[in-house]
Amino acid sequence: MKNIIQNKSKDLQNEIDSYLKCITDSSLLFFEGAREAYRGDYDDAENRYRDISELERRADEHLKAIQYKLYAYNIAPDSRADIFELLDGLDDIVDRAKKNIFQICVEKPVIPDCMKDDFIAITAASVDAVDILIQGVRSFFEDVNSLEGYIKNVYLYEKKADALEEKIKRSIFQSTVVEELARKFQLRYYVEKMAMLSDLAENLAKKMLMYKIKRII
Amino acid sequence: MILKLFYLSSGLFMGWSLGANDAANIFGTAVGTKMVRFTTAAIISGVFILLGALLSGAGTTGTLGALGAIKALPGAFIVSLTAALTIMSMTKAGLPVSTSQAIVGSILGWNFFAGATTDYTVLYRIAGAWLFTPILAALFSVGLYFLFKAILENIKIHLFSLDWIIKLSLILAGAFGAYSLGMNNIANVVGVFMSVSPFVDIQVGDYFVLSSLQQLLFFGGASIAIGVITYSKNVMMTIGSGIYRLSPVTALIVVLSSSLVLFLFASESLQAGLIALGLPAIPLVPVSQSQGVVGAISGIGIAKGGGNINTRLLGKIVVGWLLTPLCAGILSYISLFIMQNVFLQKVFI
Repeated sequence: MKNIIQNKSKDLQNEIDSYLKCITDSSLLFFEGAREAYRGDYDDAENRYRDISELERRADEHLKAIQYKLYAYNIAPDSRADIFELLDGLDDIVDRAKKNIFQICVEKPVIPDCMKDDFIAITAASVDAVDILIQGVRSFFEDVNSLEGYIKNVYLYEKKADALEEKIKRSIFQSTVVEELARKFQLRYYVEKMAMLSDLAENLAKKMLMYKIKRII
Repeated sequence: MILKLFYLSSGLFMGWSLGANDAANIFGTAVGTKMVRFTTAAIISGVFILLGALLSGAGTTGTLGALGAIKALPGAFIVSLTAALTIMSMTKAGLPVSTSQAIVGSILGWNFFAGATTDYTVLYRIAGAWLFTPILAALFSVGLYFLFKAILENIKIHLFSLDWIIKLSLILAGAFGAYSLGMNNIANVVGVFMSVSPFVDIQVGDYFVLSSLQQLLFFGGASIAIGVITYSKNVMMTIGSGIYRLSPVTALIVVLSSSLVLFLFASESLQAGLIALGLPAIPLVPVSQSQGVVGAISGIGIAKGGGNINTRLLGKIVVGWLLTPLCAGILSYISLFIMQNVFLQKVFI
């Protein structure tokens, strides 16, 4: 009875806010790190990787606390599984971003100057998709009626990332700037991994739309 | 006195089974979806059913008393017992059976057996109320559905704050539902014992008298409350996670709609208010909570575009309307015959 009269949701709201802040910061750091790596500033990129790892560790702690509080306070029992899946999905995106930046720092691929802007553009499109997704997640909690606008924008950035992926792949394999096949494969790998972030964002946006439909009375 | 209390036991059994089954209609979804703990639901149901029965249960009880004035305790015992047995067997057959229909059927059986005149005005009033119960519940739920939808689509509220508000609303609606159930359905439990109450008026202090009817209502209400506390958990879990599968908001609409119907058909002050305003009065008739719930759920189906209406269940209700009073009446007639000729008890005076 006490659980019902006492509104403990504020505590959980704060926890979710902190978690989303970690995800947003990770996404920004990832973009900075990737841009530095494309320019060849691997020491700075390595620092960004460490910062992202620390943020991810903090995000994991928040996620555990969210899961505990959702069940311990018996908050939103009919949609808590959806809420947790949604937040866990964001953690997967950060994990992917961290792996990408780690891989770049280890392999130190040489990006041809003529392709650097496209690499930055595809990374920016993916990061934008993730940022809009995070805003959508906030809206899912705070103002569900305006969620669809964010979802449409995630789709838009994912499409942009797809178009850039296609463009960069063609230039890798059709131009003579990159000669060795192994280097071509390596660059293609990074293009795919960068575009993958926007794919993950799109998948989560689709799920979020389903969760919204489930909430309609 | 012990024999008198034994005769009352069929009414108490009826109350117990009513509590075990009907409280699930009020708190089933809330408990089944873990929005509200069972203990909280059981305590609120028990207290408010008892309050409803005690404070406002006299109206519907009087209507049943008017349908058949049973003046012999063994007769009242059989009427109540056969109604309870009919409910048990109909529930086993999967029909959303109504205690009101069973008790009315049993009373009619007694009327035929005793050669008493049936007041057809009262009977038609009761039958009309049965017909209107699901219809009114559906109308209320359609109205409430659009109201809630408009509110939820136009307010900016955090998911968790909304969840908390819905939780509180479910508790409040549950309390109202339990109160309405107590005031409306207590008649099914003690109505037939009204003229043969084994209790005598008790003087409490200088100013307060606990009448025989109040004692009867108290025991009836308590038996319903005990039914809720001891046996409704499984039924609540079944409703919450199985048959109806409602969201917390739709559950709130269903509870409010069905409870409003029960309240309308039981409130003496509302009836007096309508008469004072020169409007047609709503009869005070015990109606079925389960059928109100089915009507309310169908109403939501209609509001959503008609795709979710369970016509099979509605068909079962109509069958129940005919079958329940008929079976209860026949069973009552046969049992009264046995009681009179085998056990040599006076079943009517």
